[in-house]
Amino acid sequence: MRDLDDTALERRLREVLEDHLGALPLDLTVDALDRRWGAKRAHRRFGRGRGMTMLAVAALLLVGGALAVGSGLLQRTTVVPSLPVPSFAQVAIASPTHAPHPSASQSPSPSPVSLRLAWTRVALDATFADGRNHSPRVAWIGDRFVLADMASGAVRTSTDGTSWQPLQPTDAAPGYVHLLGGALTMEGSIASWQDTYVGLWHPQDGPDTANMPPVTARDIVTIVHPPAAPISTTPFRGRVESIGIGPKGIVAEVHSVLDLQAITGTAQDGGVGWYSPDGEHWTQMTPRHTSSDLPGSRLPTGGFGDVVGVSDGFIANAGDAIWYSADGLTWRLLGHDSPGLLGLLPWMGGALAREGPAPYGQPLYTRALVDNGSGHVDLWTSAGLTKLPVPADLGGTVGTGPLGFVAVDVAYNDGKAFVSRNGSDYGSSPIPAEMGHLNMGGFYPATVAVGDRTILVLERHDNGSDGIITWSLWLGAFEP
Amino acid sequence: MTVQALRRGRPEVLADLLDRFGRDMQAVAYLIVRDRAAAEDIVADSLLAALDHGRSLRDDDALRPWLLRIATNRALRYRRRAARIVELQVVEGAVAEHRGPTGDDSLALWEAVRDLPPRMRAAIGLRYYLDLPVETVALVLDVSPNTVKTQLKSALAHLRTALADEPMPVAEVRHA
Repeated sequence: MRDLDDTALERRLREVLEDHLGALPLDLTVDALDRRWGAKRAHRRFGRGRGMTMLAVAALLLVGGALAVGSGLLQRTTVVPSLPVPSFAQVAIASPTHAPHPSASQSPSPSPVSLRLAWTRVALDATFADGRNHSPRVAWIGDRFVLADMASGAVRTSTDGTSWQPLQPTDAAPGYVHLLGGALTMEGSIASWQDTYVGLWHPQDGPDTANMPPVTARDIVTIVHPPAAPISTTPFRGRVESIGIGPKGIVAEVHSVLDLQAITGTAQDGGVGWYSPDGEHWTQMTPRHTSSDLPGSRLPTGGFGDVVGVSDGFIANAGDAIWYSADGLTWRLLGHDSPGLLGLLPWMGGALAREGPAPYGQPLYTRALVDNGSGHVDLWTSAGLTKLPVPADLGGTVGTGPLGFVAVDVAYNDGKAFVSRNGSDYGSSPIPAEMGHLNMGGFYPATVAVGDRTILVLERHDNGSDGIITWSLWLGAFEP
Repeated sequence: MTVQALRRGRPEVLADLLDRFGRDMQAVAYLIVRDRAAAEDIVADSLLAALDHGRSLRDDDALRPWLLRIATNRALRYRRRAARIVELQVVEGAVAEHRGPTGDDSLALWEAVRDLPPRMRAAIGLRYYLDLPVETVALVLDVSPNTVKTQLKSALAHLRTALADEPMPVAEVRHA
């Protein structure tokens, strides 16, 4: 069959796929779907299956509402208040030693504040606007916005979101890995940082790298480092599935059968965890492929979902289990989150987890954190779980940054932006209709970058019929 | 009519969606997760998610790729979770199955497809089984059309190489 040309091979492939996939029986019935639909609705109605009764919900709402009214919170008219020190006073903090499951928020209603955002469309040059051959990404990194096209490698930076300059070599900073990682997913089976995953193999690992750019853990560390710094001490190769950077250094989980064979003598691809305080000197975590998920047990290497750097160490999820490490090497179980946990997002010194079932059709590369109507989001810190109340209609893609928590929903709710500076006060503001109406079926969530004065939203527009894809960038500025 | 009912969140539309798109969604999900039960579960989950969020579907013509995209993303996510711990085992009898040109080409080609990376398998299924144009495959997978072309070209090269290899034991990935 080596002699087959592409046309003949494609024809043979169609036949084989038809033979195997066409013969697949589909036993799913409408009745089964109806039952699941009914169960899903009941699940929501009764507090996500945690035994919360309607009476308890009503009581919580009454108590929460009374407290809010009594404290005067509902009368606030603050226009985007200045960033206060985060306060967790009104939320439950789970004991880290008892592997808790999230419980209902003790404060079911967030405090509304007024919010006025003015949106303007930022002109993009052809490098970034043409979606057929380019894959732009935007993020707030350190002290500026960074706009990068991962297809061409073009990078622009801006401190205000309006005026853009080409990247200078001295601009390299640890945070660029964030942007790069998120962008990598666009190119197929690679991915990751935070809520996505790097899946591109090192050439020695096998065939996955054919015709793919050589992006490996080593390349990522190159980005992490200042350009002139040596990278020769990076010991691992393979695909990085998780990487977290914070004040305590870098934690990465790398998957490579070759590495594992060399290290453990087995062919079990359970992943290898590494820690570095500086991106140059790395220590391997002790391989461990299973976890009892009990307090005191160790995070299984290979079990990472996402890992984020937090103020006093690192937080990682492995499935629905949430783990904390002060030194990047020894981990303790903090508790469990929703089985549908999608990812972690650093904020307020901790890690935000999306609660609830995975959102529909969510591209893996987006930093999606959709509340899905549960009324709260979970913030994990080394002290345990904090449940932050959010508006009931909050949705869309979330970004966090110096201005706080920003959710921009271009697909639902007629388009809204939600902003919170402190995790308890929320303002919402409509977005221009143009921001979402060309978005095919609404299933390309926007990317949100949160700066110190403004917000950028990068949107992909797709007319859905002739394959024309364009990107647009919107600047959100607070009005007095 | 289906799209309107979907936008209104009417559960009656599930029967029509299952009938019209269920098998397509199942095929792509199965190619990614390689598990029939899981693929079926993903179809059900995806249809319910579609019903949940039908109001965000603005373009009537986008229904099919929209549903395929939901199923594809859920399958990729499922596989990612399931692949956290994998075990490589030599499968007895696999030597006879994994034949080159002199063996059963059909089975060898199928096995080679199953050995491709998940997103590449998805691209193969969308393009060569569902016969979607490259541009639509790109929409479903959220990659550029050029990326789809590159993936397909790479996949064909892999398949050709795999089929030409000498018979050898096949390392089958089994989820723990």
